[in-house]
This record gives sequence, C-alpha cells and structure tokens, in this order.
Amino acid sequence: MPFKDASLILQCPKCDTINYLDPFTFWNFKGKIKCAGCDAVFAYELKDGHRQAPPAETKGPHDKVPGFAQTKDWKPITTPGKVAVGPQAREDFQGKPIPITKSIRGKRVSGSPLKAEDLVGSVPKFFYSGNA
Amino acid sequence: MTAAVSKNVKDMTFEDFCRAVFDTTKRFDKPEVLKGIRVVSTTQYILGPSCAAYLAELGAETIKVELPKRGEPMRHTTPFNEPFLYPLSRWMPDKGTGLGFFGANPNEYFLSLDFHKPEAIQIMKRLAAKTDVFAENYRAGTFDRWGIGARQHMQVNPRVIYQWMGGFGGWGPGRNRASYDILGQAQGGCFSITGWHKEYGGMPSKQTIWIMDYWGGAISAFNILASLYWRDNVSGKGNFLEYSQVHGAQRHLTDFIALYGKTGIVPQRFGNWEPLLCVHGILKCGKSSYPNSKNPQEQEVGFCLVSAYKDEDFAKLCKLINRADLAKQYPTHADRVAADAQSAIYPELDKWAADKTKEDVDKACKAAGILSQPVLNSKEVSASEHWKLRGTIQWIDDPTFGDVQTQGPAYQLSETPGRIRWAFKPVGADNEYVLSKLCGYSGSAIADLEQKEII
Repeated sequence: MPFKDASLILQCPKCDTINYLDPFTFWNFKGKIKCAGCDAVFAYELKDGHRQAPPAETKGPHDKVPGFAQTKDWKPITTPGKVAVGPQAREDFQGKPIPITKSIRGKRVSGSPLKAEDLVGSVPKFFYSGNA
Repeated sequence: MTAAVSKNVKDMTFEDFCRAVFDTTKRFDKPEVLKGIRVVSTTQYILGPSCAAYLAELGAETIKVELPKRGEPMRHTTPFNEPFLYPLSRWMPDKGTGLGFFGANPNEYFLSLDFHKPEAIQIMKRLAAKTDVFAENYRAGTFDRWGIGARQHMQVNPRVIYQWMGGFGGWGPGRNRASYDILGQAQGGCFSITGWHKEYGGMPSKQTIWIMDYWGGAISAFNILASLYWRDNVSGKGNFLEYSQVHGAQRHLTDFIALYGKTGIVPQRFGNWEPLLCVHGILKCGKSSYPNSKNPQEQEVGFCLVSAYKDEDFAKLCKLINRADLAKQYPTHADRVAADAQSAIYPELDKWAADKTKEDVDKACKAAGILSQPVLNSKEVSASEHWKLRGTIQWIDDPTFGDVQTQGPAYQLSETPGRIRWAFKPVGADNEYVLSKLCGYSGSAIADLEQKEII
C-alpha cells in the first residue's frame, strides 16, 4: 500500500513529508494535523485506526502534530513543535529519576542517590541512619 | 510431613490441610529443595536471569557474574527512567539499579568479572570446575570463542549442566542473530494472532510483560532439573542444553499450527474475543472504578472478563442485558462462535456495560450465575489478600534496599518451599565471598584484581 493511502501515515500532498500518526494519539481522532515538513494543515479523521477520508488541506490553527516524521529522502524530523513529544504515562512524567526515601506503605527504602561516604561495605549507610 | 501437621491431618478439612502444610510464615523453617546445587549464571536481561532465579528461589546457591562497575544492561532499565534503588555498586553509589532488574535476580550472589581479561577467563574456569550448573545467554558461540563455553567447561568438569539460552540456537540459518523477547514473539508467530480484530484496525499487540523470556527461563530451569536427575541417578554425566527463544515462542501457537497444516487457514488476530468460544472475552466498562482519583492512571475505564459460552449461560447473559432476542438468534454455540455472530454479540455487551464500572459488571454477572472477573491492575493485585496470604506477593525487608514489594514463588511445596531472601544486590557485592570461598583468593589478591579492573 502506498503511504498516501495508509491510515496512520499522512504523506503530505504538498511536500511529500511522511508524517507518522502514532496510534496512542491518533487511533480515534478528528481534527487538524500540521505537516512537520511544510506546516500545511490538514483535516483528518480516524476511527479505530482507519482513516475516514484522504487528508484535506484547511486553515490553521492545528490540533496535533505527528508523533514522528521524516523527509521524502528518509531524514528524520525531530524539531520540537514540528513533531510531538512522546506520549506520557503520567502528567508529571519528566523521565528523570524520582528520589524516594519511603515505600508506598511508608517504610524506609534506598531510593535516593548516595555518596561514597554513605556506604558501609555494600549496605547503604542511609538505610541505617535514615538520612537521605 | 512435619509432625505438627501430621498429628491432626486426618481431621482437617482439605482447605485447612493446605493452609497448614503451605503456611507461608514457616517457609524459612523448612529445608530448601536445591540446597547443595551450585549455579553460575552469566546471564543478562530476562531470559537467562529468570532461569537462574527460578533455581535460586528453590535454594540453589546461584552466583550471578556481571561486567564490573555498571553490571548487566537490565540494571539500567526502569519504567520511564524513574524508579531506581541505590547504590548500583560500591563504585557508583550515586547511580541506581532500575526496577527492570526486579523479579529475575532474587537470592543470588553477585560477582563482577570482565571476561575480556585473561585472568577473568581463568576465574571462570575455576568456577565452572566447582559448579553443577552453568547458565549463559550471550550470542551463540561467544563463550566458546572466549574459551569458556560448554566444550571447555565439560572438559574441566564432565558433570556440569551447561544451559545456553538465546534467540535462534547454535546452528541453523538464524544462528548469528541476537534476540529479545519481542523478537521471539514476532518470529515465533505470536504477534500474528495477538492484537486487534480486523474491525478494530487489525494491529498486532505485544505482550507487555516479558512473557517469552520468563517462559524460556522456566523451560530452561525445567530442563536443568531433568538433567540433574539424569546425571545423579542414571549416567553421572553432564549435559549441554540449548534453548532457542523463537522456537519456544512458536510452541504456544497450539491449534493454530495444526489448523494451518490441515486447512491452509492462517489464523488472524481476534482481539479480546475468542475464536473457539463465545461468549468468552473482555468487555469494556464505561466507568472508572476511581473517578475521583488524582492519579490519571486510575481514572481509566475498567474492563471485565465474562465467560458464558454454554447455551444456558448465554441465555442468562442475554437476559441480564435485556437482549433475550440474542439468545433466540444464536441458540447454540455453533451459531454464536462464528466470526460474524461474535461481531454482532460483543458490541451489544459493551453497550450494556457502557454505564457501569468493572465491579458493577462483575457483581451483576455473578448474581446471574455467570463467570466473570474484573481485569485487575497492579494496585488491585498488590492489595489482594489472596496473593498476600499465599505469599505470591510480599513485602520484604531487603538487607540492602529496605522495604520493597516483590513477587514470591508462584508455586507451593509443602516440605521444601521456595522463598525470597533478598531482591538482589549491588554489582559485585559478593566479590570477596565468592572469590575467597570458591577460588581461594586472599584479600590482597582480590584487591589486586579490583585495581586491575578485572573485577
């Protein structure tokens, strides 16, 4: 199947950029998508992963940008604003280690970075003292 | 049977009998079934480590060998890069081990060793000479090239059980390829039958848990135990075992392979419905069980398994959803198991469940005498008394990391129960213990190995 007929791929009719519509965001979608290559805005509708009609150019503002995109000669487009950040599992997700000192039931757990002097043998001193 | 139990055993109900002999609070008072068996595990990710973990749960002295400092790659995987347990090692206290490492490395001793150094190869050979089982899951032939493969170890120790685990096996067209769980599921054919019904898009779906890794680990442990039996009771000889993940994956295709062989039909994905039985699937319930939760993960709508494939159960279900006409339209199982019939029946069930939580659906089904089960999430499984009572989910006071929740053994052995002594340890935590006990190194010699970055 050519890309231009695929449901979850929007091949821009104007610049041929291949815009991948990630299922997490677009599986059931009706709205406007901005091409990551030329900023053209297209009306698009998907139901259960099936597109309902070919993309139709329209005016902005757009609702969503594609999850990933690449040029016609297969170069990835990663510019923020052109493509979406990855789907987030939690509202506060930043992808950085979250230091914790207590488990979900309130007891001590060694969930924070330590310094060399915090170690007693291979056992964290923190675990003895409770000092994070 | 222990004396305290055997005294009154004849008078007990079966439930009390089971509760007494499997009493999880007495696990640590009983012997371990594999005590005296030593396993050296040079494994990484899940497939190989889970094999070693199953043996360690049963009491085998299991020594995990990892690369120095950072350890094996699975330590650096954790959900969304968030939760870690510290320290990663005595050399890197500010780095942690990700929760991806959980579940496949309990009860083990941790030795760090850089296989690329000649001295490390000598240490490996010394370990192999004193071990019953050697498990590894490097790419096929790697350890053989390094001089520490099955051939070399079995020359030193003809009684060793050498278990190799990997993607494709040591021979055949795929021999040089590496594998992961997801590749095993793909090449083994699992994805072709797991995923969305064609009317819902047809996309294959991967199983989020590493099911092909854990299955392969369990089968490998099973083969190791069989080989130990053969060695100790029949032959006195070791064994070279090979487990190929893609072949293990296709073993699950069951009737699909037979169906293709007989008819040429290529089975497709059927979503949460079932090609063999109807109704026997998962309904989408339109309301969340935790609508006021601040955690968006808990706000999602629920799902409930419903099984009513017998004619009388299907009739009850149709009555429950006020669609008795469906029972008349599809009176026999042969009528309703057809694909078109299922496509007509399930949307009606989903409509009925659209204004209900999964608990509402479950309660209604049970009241009508229909088998059902809400789809539980990790929060609900963790809170379930059934798991806690039977010790399959437990909080442990880990000596290194503190208060952690983990899975216990999923099975019960009355006289020799499995147990979790610790979740895991930092990289190289047992260097001194292992090298002095099994290889005869002094403290200064071990310090020298560390300075040369061999350990």
